[in-house]
Amino acid sequence: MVSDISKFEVGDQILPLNIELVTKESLKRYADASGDPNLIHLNKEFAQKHGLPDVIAHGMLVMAYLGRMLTNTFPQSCLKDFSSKFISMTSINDELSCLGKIIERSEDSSGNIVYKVQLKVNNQNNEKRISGKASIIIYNTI
Amino acid sequence: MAKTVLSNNIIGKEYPSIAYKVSKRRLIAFAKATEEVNPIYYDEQIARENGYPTIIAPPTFLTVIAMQQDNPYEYLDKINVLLSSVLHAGQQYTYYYPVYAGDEIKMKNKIEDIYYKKNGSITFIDFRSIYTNQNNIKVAESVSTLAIR
Repeated sequence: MVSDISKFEVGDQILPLNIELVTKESLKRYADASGDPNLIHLNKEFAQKHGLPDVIAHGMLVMAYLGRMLTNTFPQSCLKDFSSKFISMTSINDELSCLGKIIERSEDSSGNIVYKVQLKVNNQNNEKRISGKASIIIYNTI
Repeated sequence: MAKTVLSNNIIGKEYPSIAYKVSKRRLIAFAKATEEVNPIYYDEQIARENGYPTIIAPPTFLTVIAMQQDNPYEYLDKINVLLSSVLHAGQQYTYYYPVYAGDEIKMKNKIEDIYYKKNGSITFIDFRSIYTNQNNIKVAESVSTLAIR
């Protein structure tokens, strides 16, 4: 793993983040913390009434995990753009891997380094939950 | 034919702004709910030791602001969209300035676009939100894309 954040090259992976298990309790905690009252994340009968086998995770919870992966490596002030497409629904009992790869590296006129990072979140069966991207800027401090 | 056809007239529709004071308690609960282990997101003293004025709001925290109303989904009711028919399809943030505990954030939200995919069977709506703090500094912008089945 690269320890100096200005030294990433195209193709490098950033330190992944694994979420051991998405549980009903994780969803309840996130619902309370975010204030999202949508029962599709909380009530199995309600979810089943809407054609789902069980409750599903908040997309924004999974994106928050992805954000944690980014800020584990880069101070948050480096983060300029961060986006996610929610490809499939995250279920309870999913084990998630948050992954990021440098796909572009450039230097601007002030000597700041700019990375484009390709992001994804997969579960244990390699089903893609999120595909995303981020722009990171490492300011030239010299 | 799309099951949900929305009038293009609502493109540009602006919602009343939402004001929210970022509380330490909410940040700590959010950190816990996202299993955050970096203490700058929940421990004020450690945040200070790391050069921050207080604990910092993580990248997706702004999503909380839209929920701080009596009926967080009123914005869907107003355009006759059923919550149960909606999926969150995408979320995009651009960051300009940090958000800290104690900040008073104002969120301005509008409908930016409506479009159709899969032969019109899925309707997409893009909502653009602009977030400013108590000093009238724009801290972030977001685009939230909902898919309506």
